[in-house]
Amino acid sequence: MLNIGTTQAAPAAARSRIRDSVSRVFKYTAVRGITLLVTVVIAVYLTILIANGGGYVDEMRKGQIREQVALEMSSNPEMALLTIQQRRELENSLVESRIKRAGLDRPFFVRSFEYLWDGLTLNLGRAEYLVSDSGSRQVRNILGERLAPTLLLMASGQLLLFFSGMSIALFLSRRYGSLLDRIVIALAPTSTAPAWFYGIFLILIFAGLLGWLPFSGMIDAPPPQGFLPRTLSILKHMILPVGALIVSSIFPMAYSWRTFFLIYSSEDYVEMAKAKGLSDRQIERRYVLRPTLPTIVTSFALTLITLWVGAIVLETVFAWPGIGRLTQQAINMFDTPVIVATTVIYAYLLALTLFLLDIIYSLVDPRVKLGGGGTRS
Amino acid sequence: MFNRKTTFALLAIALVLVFSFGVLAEEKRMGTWVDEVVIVEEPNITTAISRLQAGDLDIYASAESQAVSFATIQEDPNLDYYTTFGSYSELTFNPVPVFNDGRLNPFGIRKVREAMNKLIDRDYIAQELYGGLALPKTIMLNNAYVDYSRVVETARFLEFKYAYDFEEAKTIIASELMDAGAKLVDGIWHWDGEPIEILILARAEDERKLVGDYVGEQLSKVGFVVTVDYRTSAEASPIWMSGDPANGQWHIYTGGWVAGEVYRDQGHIFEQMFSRRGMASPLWLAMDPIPELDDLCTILYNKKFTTMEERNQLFSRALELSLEDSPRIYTVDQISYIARRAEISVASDLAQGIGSTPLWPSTLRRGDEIGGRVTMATPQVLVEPWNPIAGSNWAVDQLAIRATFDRGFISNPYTGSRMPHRVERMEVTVQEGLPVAKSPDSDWVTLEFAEEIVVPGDAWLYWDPDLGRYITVAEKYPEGLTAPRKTVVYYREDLYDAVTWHDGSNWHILDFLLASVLGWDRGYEGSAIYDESAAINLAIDQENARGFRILSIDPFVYEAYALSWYIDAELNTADPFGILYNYGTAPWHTLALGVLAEINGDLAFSSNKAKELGIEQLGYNTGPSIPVLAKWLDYAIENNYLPWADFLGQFITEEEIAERYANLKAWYEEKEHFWLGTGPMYLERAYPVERMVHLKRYENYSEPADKWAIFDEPRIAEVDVTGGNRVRAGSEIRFEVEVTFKGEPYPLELIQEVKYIVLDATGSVAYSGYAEGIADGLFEIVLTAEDTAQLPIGSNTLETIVLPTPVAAASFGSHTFVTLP
Repeated sequence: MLNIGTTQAAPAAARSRIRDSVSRVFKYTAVRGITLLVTVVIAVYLTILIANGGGYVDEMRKGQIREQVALEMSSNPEMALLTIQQRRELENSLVESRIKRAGLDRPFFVRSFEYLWDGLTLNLGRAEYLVSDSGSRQVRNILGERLAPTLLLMASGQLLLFFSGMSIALFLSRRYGSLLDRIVIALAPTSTAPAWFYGIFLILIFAGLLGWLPFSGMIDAPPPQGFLPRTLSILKHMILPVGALIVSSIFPMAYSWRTFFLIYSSEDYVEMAKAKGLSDRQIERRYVLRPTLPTIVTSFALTLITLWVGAIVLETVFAWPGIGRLTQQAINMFDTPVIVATTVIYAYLLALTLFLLDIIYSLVDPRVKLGGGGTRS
Repeated sequence: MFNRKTTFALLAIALVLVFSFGVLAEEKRMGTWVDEVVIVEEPNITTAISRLQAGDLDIYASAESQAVSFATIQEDPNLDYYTTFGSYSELTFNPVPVFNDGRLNPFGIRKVREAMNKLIDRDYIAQELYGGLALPKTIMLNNAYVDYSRVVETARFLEFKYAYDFEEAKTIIASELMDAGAKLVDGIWHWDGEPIEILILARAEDERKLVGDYVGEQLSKVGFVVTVDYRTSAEASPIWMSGDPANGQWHIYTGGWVAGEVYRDQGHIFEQMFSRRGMASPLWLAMDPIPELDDLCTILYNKKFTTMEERNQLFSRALELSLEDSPRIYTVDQISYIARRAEISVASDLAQGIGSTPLWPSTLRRGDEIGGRVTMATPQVLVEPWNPIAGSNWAVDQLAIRATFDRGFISNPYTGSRMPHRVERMEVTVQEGLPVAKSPDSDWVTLEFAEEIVVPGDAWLYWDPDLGRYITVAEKYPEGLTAPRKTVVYYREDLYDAVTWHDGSNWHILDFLLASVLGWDRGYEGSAIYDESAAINLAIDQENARGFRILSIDPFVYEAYALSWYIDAELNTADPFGILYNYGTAPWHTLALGVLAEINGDLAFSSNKAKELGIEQLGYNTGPSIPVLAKWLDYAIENNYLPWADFLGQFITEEEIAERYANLKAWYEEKEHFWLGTGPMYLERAYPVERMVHLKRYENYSEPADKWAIFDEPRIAEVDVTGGNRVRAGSEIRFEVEVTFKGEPYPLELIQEVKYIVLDATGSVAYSGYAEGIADGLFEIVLTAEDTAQLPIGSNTLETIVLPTPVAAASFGSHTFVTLP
């Protein structure tokens, strides 16, 4: 009986544990999801307010419209044919028409919530000033055209940077104090200058002085015909911007990861593994990389989402037609729908990444339990 | 008849001649010297200069004013530049005497504003703040344009009168402030017990930021508390342009203006700058101009004068009063540069540079080379969709667009005058009493005066959609209609054969008529292509219309009547051939596709309507419009579609319609876009993501490449005045004026006039006259014994103003001499 009872009680306890786990995970997911959503809503609305100067941008745009209309009219000698009354009426009609076209005839407060709702529902709508490179005003087209160049540049740069940085760091952690290690440490402060700064130097050297590589742009002018020549041309144009990204970050990255690996390499269990005679490779894989995996995954995930936003100044320096330059143009022109679209997509990606990271942590790190009471060791 | 030797000799000569003609015929290059032009995007002038140095670019087709890059160009023998003079800067004053909160505004006092002219050192601003890329500017007129030389005596007198004199300015300001009740306490001006604070709104984007600082320093020295607020154009606009000046949010704004073309007549600008009618903005409405100045503004704006002498007097008086009133004072005329490789030559408009002249593709050349590719860069590329009704008018887009279409007349990039291109001749008739004159060189224009110009009753006035045709003058004005100007344009007899669209279609009268009907029709509310933005001007356009007639279709002769007129006969044009030149141009069959797309709600010509309907704006060059237009092309082919067929159908046959669409289909299949023109280059492809425009030479273009070779560069004269340094009063003295271009004497026949003025020690104009041409590049000025006898003892300045025919820009030279007792 006891045995039977025990065997009957075990599945019940297991079911209960599963129920508890499901309930806990569900609750955690819901709370976490709502928290992230609220954060996204607040972040996007703040962006809308900031991008529009709390509504002051409306006044700026109205002023620009009036100025533009007045200049157009005053530079047209044909206006002399009109009476003053006609000129006034025409000027006011043109100004009102353009204000209406820009949507400035309705209060900013009302429009701010429309921007928010459209953004959150990914109804990206039409840009107010910017047009896509091919002439479309649909924000999805504007972003879509710029996405591929940005992903191409940033993915190549960031992934190359991430994996090479990681490999160098591991290599250096095994050669602590070596000449190479000391060189990397010495070069680590290079991160104080941004990638575009190195970009300018690389352009001066390799394009200006040596003439080996193109100054800027994404492809030769005019673009070569055929897949292979086009690909080679694009790759040639990527060398300098990708190089600038790598030069600016590789040393500090290798330095910080190498330090990180060194800390883990001096743990007692690593010493124990060494004492047991395990090979360096085995120690690295089992006792160094595994416990650092959540941090590596986090870093990698955050790297991935930065691909979306591009690099504003770097893309400008290299005249690279990416999202970064687009964002700068949108900010300069106060094009709220485009600013909101880039922000909201970034916010969603960030929220989703954070959410998925929580789950991934629990998979890769046995100490982490979703929604549970802390960690076990 | 001939012996064998003679026969051989004759045969040999004949062969040589035939061969030579063959070679010559082969060498006759049509259209453009270069085969291809690629326009790429380069937003940064510094990088552009590096790319030019490396040979990666040939021209940076943007007018720039950065001094550091300019120095690089000047130092590098491989680089060169063209200059433009279209931009100028000023200080706009808030004219409200007392603000709403009770503060005194010193610039509400006219004398204080006038004294500001002497408080600022324009030479310092030009040389130090603009790095030499500017010329001091005291009066409204740009000295690169012809009006300046017309009133040069007044101009130089005013420049002397209002020259920098800090102490005098300070004294005047102090006197005026004390009269207004202000007190100087511890070196600071106070009013009503509070320090007078001056708020300068300085534009942050360019040198005007430094100008704001400089003016602030000068005002501080006078005893004001000064705050300089740096703002971008967008940030400043709601404050100075839209805001109520009585709120006192600013006192001085560092403004700037751009002339879009080489002005032949700057009379209308007085109205904009110095009258309350200039703009419908609170600032302009707050102005309180001197009544006489206000009247002069209106007179000059409406051209209410009968002779050029009268006009010059009006100009002179208006300039004097504008400085007395000084609602704004001018600081500098900016000199901008278009950077290029030294071996590249191209026409460059004096006002705005390469992009402003349609001659750039024809004149562009690399040394003596024929063929090849030139790479140009602009700060942006492909900003907005191209369509000739309401598409992109961005300068960077227009640069490429202008290469692709032709016009009946070409605007002279250096003088602003017009020259015939597809036109044989033109007859201009103006009402008697209007001061219209023609240049003696313009043998293609005839000018006549008539007591009254009656518009014929059968002239078409404007499109009436209800009638489905043009309403005639007799129908609208049964009592008759007159106009101050009539122009008859005779197009070249080869027009229909020589001009072809890039898809191979010959030019057709419908290319004018459909565009004209379309332009009117979209303004009517009941129209299937109604566009609110087009309706705004409709009533005014109808009221001002004075009628036109097609006197002959082939050869094409067009007669137009107009209310507007210009003092230069050559500018009184009418050009139905280039009807849509504001945004490019298009043949009737691509416009018809646009009409179809708009009627069916797929696309809209204007961005206004596109936004209203949530659809895309029509772009013939690239983008989402292309598949839509392709769809409607198939429909048009299937239905042999002709819009407004009842009216337009009488001018074209079914076969001609079908041929047009067939040509377009073949073009689209090859080029994958619908941008057609008649110009010397065609759009090979627009690369939107790669940010490039690829143009190619149109081999069927009918005009020789050297047709406009004279415009390969602006022949701005260099002037050097030499002569005696001292003269006894009552003795004769001679001066020589050397006029050169690139070190070579300027041909005598290309110099319109060399004017001189003698400013005496008081700055007054003692004499003025014209120098006598001695030889190419050499003029002589003689001051007779009688002349010098009347000069006061002391230092005099002889100033010469050379006005060449090929450029509007006058060149100046001066020489100082002393009158001894």
